[in-house]
Amino acid sequence: MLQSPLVFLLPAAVTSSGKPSLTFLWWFRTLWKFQMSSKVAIGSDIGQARQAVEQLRMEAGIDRVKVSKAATDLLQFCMEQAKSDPFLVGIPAATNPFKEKKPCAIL
Amino acid sequence: MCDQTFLVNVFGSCDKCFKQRALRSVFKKSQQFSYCSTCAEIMATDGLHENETLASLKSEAESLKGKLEEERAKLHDVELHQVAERVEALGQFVMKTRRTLKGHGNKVLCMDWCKDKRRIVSSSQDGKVIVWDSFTTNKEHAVTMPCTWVMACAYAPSGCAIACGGLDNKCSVYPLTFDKNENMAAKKKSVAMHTNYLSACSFTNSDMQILTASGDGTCALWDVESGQLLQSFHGHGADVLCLDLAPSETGNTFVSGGCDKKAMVWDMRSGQCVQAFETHESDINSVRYYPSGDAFASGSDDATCRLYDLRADREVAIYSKESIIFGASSVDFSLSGRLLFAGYNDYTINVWDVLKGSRVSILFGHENRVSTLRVSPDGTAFCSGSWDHTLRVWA
Repeated sequence: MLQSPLVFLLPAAVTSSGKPSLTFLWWFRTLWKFQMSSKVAIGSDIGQARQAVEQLRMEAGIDRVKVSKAATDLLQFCMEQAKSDPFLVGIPAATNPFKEKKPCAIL
Repeated sequence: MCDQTFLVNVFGSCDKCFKQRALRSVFKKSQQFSYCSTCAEIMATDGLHENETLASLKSEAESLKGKLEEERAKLHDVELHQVAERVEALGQFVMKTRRTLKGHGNKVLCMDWCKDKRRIVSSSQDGKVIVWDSFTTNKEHAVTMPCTWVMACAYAPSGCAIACGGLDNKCSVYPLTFDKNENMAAKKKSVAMHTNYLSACSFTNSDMQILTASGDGTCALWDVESGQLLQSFHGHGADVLCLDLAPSETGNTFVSGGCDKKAMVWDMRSGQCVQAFETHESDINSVRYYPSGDAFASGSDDATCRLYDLRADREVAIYSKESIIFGASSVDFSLSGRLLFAGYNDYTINVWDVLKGSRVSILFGHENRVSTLRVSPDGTAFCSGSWDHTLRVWA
């Protein structure tokens, strides 16, 4: 049992003058917390493990497509959209608000 | 950065036994209940079959993971760059800094573009959030947040409000007004409440809902008007660092990346994780959807960027080089998805050819690590923010 080593160090519950011993109270509280914390840890571990198993079951069951098909689709989308991508096609400096316009000379 | 998490102890009546105890929150199918510790333990062992022990559940989890890997490997018949061999190679790119936005007093942590393709909102470590006009480099609005390290900021789709948050664990929405006499801070609305720092936020398609990601390991969907929590997303094992919403045509999903090296795709309506990817070797700093919505890219501290396809349910490309040893802090695609811009902690920005997997260009200019990078809504330019206190617009 987990708490058996501590039993040997049991302080006196009541001091010689008859007042409740603070050392005893501290010992009891530490023991209680130690017992409780290990119980709670196990409870939440099982809960978490069950959730993990259910999540994995769900993920294993989804429909998948072959990489060749998925890659071809990505490629197709890219090629179709390439004409409207300013970085690939380039827009004339005059219409790009960020590029400098040619200086105009005042005649 | 922030590794202190405080456990909040709430006292009240338990949902099951109605006694006054210290409560722990338990999530069952995304609904939150508050149980005392004894009832929580009973709930966990409820419906446990005779042979189900911790060990048997763990071994079942391991075997399922193995089966998942097998299923994924079966469909891996070709690599993306092999399919892309027939595509023309890209020419040389000339991209220069066209505008430098100076004004922040400390590291720039996050930025976002407005839908009008012109305005930018940026936030920094000193608590300031500034709205800039990127054409003229003028500052239009400035707000001082009550906290430092404002790690997240977002522009509302209408252009009438901004959202920001950071170490204050909240996401606040500020309506933008052009009235000089009005104090922006007075109209602030606190929308989201997390138990740890806010790492990312984004408006959904309307001004009415905000999606947030936090260092407490959860993402959440909030209603802006009432501040009510609409849906919460649990599943990450560590801080969530980034999120991105799917492009509108493809539906209600979003992807998030975290310090547990996992990228997870979520269904916004049910709160369930639909797919999870764990191939990175370190924290995922940034995730961004491919423009078609069928794939997403992630940038991580392991110095690689990876492309994951959602329909094939696996990683399809890695963008890395032996000479790159610093982590990627932010990634974004060009309009067509052919180019991937990634900002790194070695002060550079690398431009990758998404299909072929090769680096197209490397951009120098920042004097400290690049912390954030976004392409403008019309794709004509992209803006990068850095720890050197400036933002640069490249075109």
